[in-house]
Amino acid sequence: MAIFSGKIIEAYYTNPDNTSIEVIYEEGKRAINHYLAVDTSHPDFKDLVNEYPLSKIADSTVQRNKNAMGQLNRIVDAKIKQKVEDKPMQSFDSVMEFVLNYDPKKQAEDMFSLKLKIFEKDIVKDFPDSAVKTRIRQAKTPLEVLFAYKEIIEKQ
Amino acid sequence: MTTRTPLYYNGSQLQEMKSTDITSLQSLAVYYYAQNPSRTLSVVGSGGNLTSIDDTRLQAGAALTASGVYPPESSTAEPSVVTTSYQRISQSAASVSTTTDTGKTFPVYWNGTQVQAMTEQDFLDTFVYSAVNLLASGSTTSDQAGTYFIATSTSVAGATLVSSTPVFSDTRANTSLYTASGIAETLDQPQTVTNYYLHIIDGVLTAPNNPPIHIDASNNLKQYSTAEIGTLLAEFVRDQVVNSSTGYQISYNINGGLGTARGSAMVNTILTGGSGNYQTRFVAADDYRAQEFPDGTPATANTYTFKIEKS
Repeated sequence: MAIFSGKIIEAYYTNPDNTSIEVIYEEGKRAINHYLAVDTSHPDFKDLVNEYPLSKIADSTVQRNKNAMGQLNRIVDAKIKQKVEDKPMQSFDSVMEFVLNYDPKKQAEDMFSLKLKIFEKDIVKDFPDSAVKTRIRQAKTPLEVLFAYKEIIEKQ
Repeated sequence: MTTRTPLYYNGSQLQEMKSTDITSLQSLAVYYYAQNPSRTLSVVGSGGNLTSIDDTRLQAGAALTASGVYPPESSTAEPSVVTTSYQRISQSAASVSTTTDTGKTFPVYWNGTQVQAMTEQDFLDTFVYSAVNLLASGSTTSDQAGTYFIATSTSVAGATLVSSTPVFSDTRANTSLYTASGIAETLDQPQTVTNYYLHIIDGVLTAPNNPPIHIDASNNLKQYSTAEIGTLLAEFVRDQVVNSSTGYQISYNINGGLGTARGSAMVNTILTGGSGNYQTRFVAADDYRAQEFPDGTPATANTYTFKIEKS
């Protein structure tokens, strides 16, 4: 009699080539795992398939893989959602929202990035009028930044 | 190999044992062996003499800091593998010698014309080799008492935990502990998935219904007590387990080429399929941070099988 005999909750293959099985069995109020190789001559394996046939192990494996795939999909979806939330400037709508309805509480970091981008332009670096550059530095909204940038482009 | 059919006293005369009687004596040999096994294992902190086995897990890549912009993913270090080696099982053999055959040491059998005492080789062939075969089976019942197996639980019915120190721990990165707000996060933040423990199987004493007979010092026939025959059997089982030159030594190994799996295999799992979970943290205009955390799905990296070997 194997350690899990009469107490099996579930058994499934743990690797793609189906040479290893994880048996989950009940011990009091705890679920315990036990790994064994697929070895038709081993007494533990014989006890397992007597109680939990190979077809059932295969079904459990398919179901478990489906569950794992579902979990993986949920993780991937959550990651995509998080990335969009963390970097909202990745879509057209979010850029428009930033320009037209700027929220300093939520978008100060993006505002900082915008100013940085503007100052990285050669046309701005080479522009001699420091008053316009100061207006960019002190701008409170993206529109103010862009207006000052427009002024530099026109004067150049 | 010559197995004999021992005699027992049925209350009125001597009678040859049935195979079930002999089997019960082999089980008795196992019980008495378990009271004092000659091949023993212990759990040590490190430096055991069974094969070293590795647990691997991912840890985060080192955090990077830049001024003005976040360090790009291409510049942050990828998660790397942390390896912990376990060599916690130590195997040893007792020094064993056996009683010298006086010609009347072993049970008697009917040779066709008279009652005769078994030779030492008869005794080995009839009882001891079969008892060693029972011990070396892949099962973990009381017929394997005094031998060892691995379990994920610290408590197994019919067995005794050798040590509460696990002989192997499977760990993985605990992805829930890594947060963007914590960058620079501690690189190695593991969780234990499964601990594996060494157990020894307990013996169960079942007194034989039909004990064998031996010739005593006064040349009278005398029935062995359970303890007398059990002790004699165990003495020769102990000797064979560590000294046999005919294939009845017992030893243990991990992932050895020979042997039979005992208990649960020990599985090393690790997160795979991920490419590093790139996260950023804005601290100040001159402190933009980024770090790659472990990610992926758990998969088996190695399977270690604890085996009992008869050789």
